[in-house]
Amino acid sequence: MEAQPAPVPEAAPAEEVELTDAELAAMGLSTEPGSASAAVDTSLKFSGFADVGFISPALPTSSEFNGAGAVNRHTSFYVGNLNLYLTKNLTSSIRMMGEIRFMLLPNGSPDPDSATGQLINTNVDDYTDFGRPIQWGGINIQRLYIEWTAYRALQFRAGQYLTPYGIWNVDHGSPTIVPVQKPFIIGQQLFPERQVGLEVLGQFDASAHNSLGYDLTLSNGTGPVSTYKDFDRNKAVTGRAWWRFDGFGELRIGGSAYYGRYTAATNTAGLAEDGVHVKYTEHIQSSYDVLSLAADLKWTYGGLLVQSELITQQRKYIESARIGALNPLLGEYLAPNDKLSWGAYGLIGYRFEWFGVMPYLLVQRLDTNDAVNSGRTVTNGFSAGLNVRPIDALVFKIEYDEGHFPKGSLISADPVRLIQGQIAWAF
Amino acid sequence: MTSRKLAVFAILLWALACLRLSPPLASAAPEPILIVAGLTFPGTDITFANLKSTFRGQSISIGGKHIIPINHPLEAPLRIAFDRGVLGLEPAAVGRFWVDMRIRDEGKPPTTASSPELAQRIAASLPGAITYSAKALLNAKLKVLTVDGKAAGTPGYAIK
Repeated sequence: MEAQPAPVPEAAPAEEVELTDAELAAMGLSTEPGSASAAVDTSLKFSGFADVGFISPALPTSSEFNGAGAVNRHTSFYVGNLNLYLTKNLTSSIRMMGEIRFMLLPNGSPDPDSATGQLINTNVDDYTDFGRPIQWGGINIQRLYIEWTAYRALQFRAGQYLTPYGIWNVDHGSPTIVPVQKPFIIGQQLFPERQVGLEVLGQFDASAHNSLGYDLTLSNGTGPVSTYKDFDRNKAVTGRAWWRFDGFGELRIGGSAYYGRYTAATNTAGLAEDGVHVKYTEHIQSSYDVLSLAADLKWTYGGLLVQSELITQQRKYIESARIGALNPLLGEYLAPNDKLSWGAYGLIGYRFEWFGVMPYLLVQRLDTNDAVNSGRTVTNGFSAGLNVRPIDALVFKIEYDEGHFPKGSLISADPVRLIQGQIAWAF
Repeated sequence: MTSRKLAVFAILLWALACLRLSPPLASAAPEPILIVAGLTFPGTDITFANLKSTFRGQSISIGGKHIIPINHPLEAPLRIAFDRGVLGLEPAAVGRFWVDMRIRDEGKPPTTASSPELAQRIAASLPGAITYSAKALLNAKLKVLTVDGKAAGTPGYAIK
């Protein structure tokens, strides 16, 4: 189609309209020689998000779930996430992104080496305060990558990135996510939450209201130290494709797949056959292949939000690496079995303009089948709550959660009921 | 009966008064939003998809030149109309949209000028810069772009 002629401005005002380079620079804009570098802000930017909250069991005192795992017996306030983002443009097409979570952990988490349920204690003497006790915490690198944008349809990342699947995992931050609690299929990591390796991504417009996008990754996959060491040769691959239509609200539909091998191993030193040299021998502790598939849908129309994800995961052990352990609850030696897990959630909410109030409802299911003894674990849940976002960067959430186990559970067949609240903010 | 007639007469008078006091109904169509760029901008047209993508924080190049979107202040009438017509965002949703984009690391908002006039001056001065304008704000250092080959105000112009 030939472009129609553009209208010509009627008149120019008498005063100068162009800005000087100094004036542009004062606004973070630049016309330096080399058009590729024009208007690039190369300063280091800090931002992030944080949240605090409370969790309260709504259980009868006789419930076996009191004190089980994350279900504390008593209402507890907590400091949640404190995630700091660091971003910097190195050139107009190369940038870095880092995200660090500061944690109170490992203090108070169960000691894996303790048979009696002792908690890890990080109390140390603070030499800046006459040796009075202080608890240290940890940090967790959530994301760290360098990104090169060759074109909008062809970008490259190297480092640690969020696995590009679905909606929830990419939304990532508590101010962006509507409910307090992750759905089971996200929390159980049927897809790995993040990976280390290479990512190729891009998007392009198919028409005025249709866009298509893709992600491809090659990574270490999963493993006990997959952030810096791979214990097998099989690199994991992830693929994702999505379509966005914004002609009637905004509809986004996507599909994702992940295939990789989990391997846990140790290397122990010993004397080689010649009796002179040292030889390292690898002992595989566990190894299995994982195939995960997912589909997702998100539709926003005005204040309405409809969001759903469906995920399956097949886990198949390498026979030589199907190594069991003594189950402390059953007192039996159990070897792990191949598994098929699938689950889904649906979230619907409506955000009113009045104080940014959004009532929401989430229903979900997680179904895990044990391929050997046909054991099956089913968890159904629903959550209802209010997400209030009175200003863009601040969110209040209050939520009621209920979980049911129609096939029973290791602890009890009774339902679990919780009330949770959260204040999340971006900075 | 007389009192009923008086009441009807009074109501008619009141209705007539209301009609006279009400502002005349707007019969003219709203002024179209013009997409403008400096004279060095490559070409005279931009696709609606590229326009939307660049103002959504995506990296867009036209004719080998990187496009730099410049927004009007958040409360400016033309900004509200542009966000609604191009990005599909109501004023209350704009801030939330950009906070969420930043948390996902999916893009950052365009530079926002402190006034519509300054946005025009940046577009006139900075190669690759693009903004939107009302007809009254145009000057000789700017050219108006067609969108998907359609001039503003002609049938099929993409920005409603």
